[in-house]
Amino acid sequence: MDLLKPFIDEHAIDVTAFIGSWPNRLQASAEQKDLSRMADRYQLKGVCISHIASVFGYDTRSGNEALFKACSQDNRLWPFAIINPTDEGWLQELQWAIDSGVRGIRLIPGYHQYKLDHPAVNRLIEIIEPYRLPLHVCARLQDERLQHHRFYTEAVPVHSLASMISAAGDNPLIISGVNSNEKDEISRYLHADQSIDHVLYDLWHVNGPLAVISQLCQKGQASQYAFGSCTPIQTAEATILQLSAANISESDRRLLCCGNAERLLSMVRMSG
Amino acid sequence: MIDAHIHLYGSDLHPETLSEGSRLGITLFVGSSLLNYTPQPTYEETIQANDDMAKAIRNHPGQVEGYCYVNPRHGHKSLMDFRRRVEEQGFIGLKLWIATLCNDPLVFPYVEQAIQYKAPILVHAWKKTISQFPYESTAHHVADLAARYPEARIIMAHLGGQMESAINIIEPYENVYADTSGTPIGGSEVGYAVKRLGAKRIIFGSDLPFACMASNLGKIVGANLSETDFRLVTYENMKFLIDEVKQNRGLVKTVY
Repeated sequence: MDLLKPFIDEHAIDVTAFIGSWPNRLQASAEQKDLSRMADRYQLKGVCISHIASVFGYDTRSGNEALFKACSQDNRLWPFAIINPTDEGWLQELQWAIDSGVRGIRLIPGYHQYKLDHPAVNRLIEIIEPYRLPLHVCARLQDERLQHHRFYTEAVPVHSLASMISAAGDNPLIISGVNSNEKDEISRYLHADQSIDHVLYDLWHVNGPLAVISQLCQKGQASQYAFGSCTPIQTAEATILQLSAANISESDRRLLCCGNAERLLSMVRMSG
Repeated sequence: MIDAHIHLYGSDLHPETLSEGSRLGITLFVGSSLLNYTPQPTYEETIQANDDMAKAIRNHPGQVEGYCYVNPRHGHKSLMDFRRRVEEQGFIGLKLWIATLCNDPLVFPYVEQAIQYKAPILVHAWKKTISQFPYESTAHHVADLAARYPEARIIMAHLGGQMESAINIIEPYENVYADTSGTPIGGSEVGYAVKRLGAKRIIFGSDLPFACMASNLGKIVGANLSETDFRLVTYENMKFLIDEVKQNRGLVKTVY
């Protein structure tokens, strides 16, 4: 556990976590008490959670209701409702989520099979923008090579993630599940004047090359990433140890573990 | 700790290997060079790769051990290179990548030689949903090889890619270990593999420099193993395999 102490000392925020069971990996499962235990063990300030049932269910609402119930048990568990803006009734569900105190909205275009340039995505941004409610877009939830062959899902293309950055205006945006090369590729699509102050990338899929965290800090990107574990689909300690052991300044470690996420999540204006 | 699955970066260790290892408590690295990662390397390319590895071993005594990389399509001359590397340059094992399936009869002479040396055979194995290479072995091929050669000490790399099915397939073959290396960090995978195979058959590796060492060690930390099991996975299992081949050194000599 000593190896993980530098991370624990930062009282991190996990911007990407899930509750529920992954349908084709029995061991990839977390209940509320598991996430609370993880928050205890690693002294997390907050964990941004969505329900896996909203990824695979016939609706998102069932998972979102279970999500709110679970989060009500522990104020470190912050509900990020998954909305499918191509579903019937999504507008009502979004408003219900906002009224219920949602802390962010999560989109999973690959699993819900729509493109990020779908008009309903822009409509969703218009609705959440007055609240500056963080929008969390999952490019993937698993390495494509390891997906179940009967349930294969394409990763969200990097160019559409770049378009999303401009479409989001200055609304807080978290892009989840891209690696460092894809992140750099996204940057190439951006207009030179495009502000990226409202954008963070999570780190769970930034698992190579060797010493990747220190490399991205050397490139001046420490303000652009945040800890996100993708637990229980992924192993949280993989990313935790990367952050703990990285040969980086303490100020960069603080930004990556907590500071950046805190800044982005504090943009919320819940009065609308 | 021992990182049992690394690669060179160009012709030497990645410059961060030792310093990152020192921060994490990893003091020995066991690796191979795949040179330019061509699926079908020429004989000359494998020679270059193994020369680079030999240099890395010499330059970092006590910190680096090496596998001899072969393309089994090159037959006897490549087998002779394997012998030279083990007998004269202190290589500790054989590395098979994606030039042939690992149970191709072309591989058998190398396996038989490795058995004589008591040398581990590290087999890249990965069942992929997409992007499978034409001669990329899966756990089925590993199991077939293990059944043919029960004396061979085989390490199936990357937990076989799709871990649950791979573990089921190799489970009956006690001569097969599985290494945990690679970029995937799937939830609870290492813990599950240890539960199914026992800690004595799981070996920590990173697959650096393309994968991150810390991320890979984090997978082991996240498995919540007992202290004893953690030590088996991160040190003792690989130490045993290395010691065996070293103790056997000199007992098998090729007559040129």
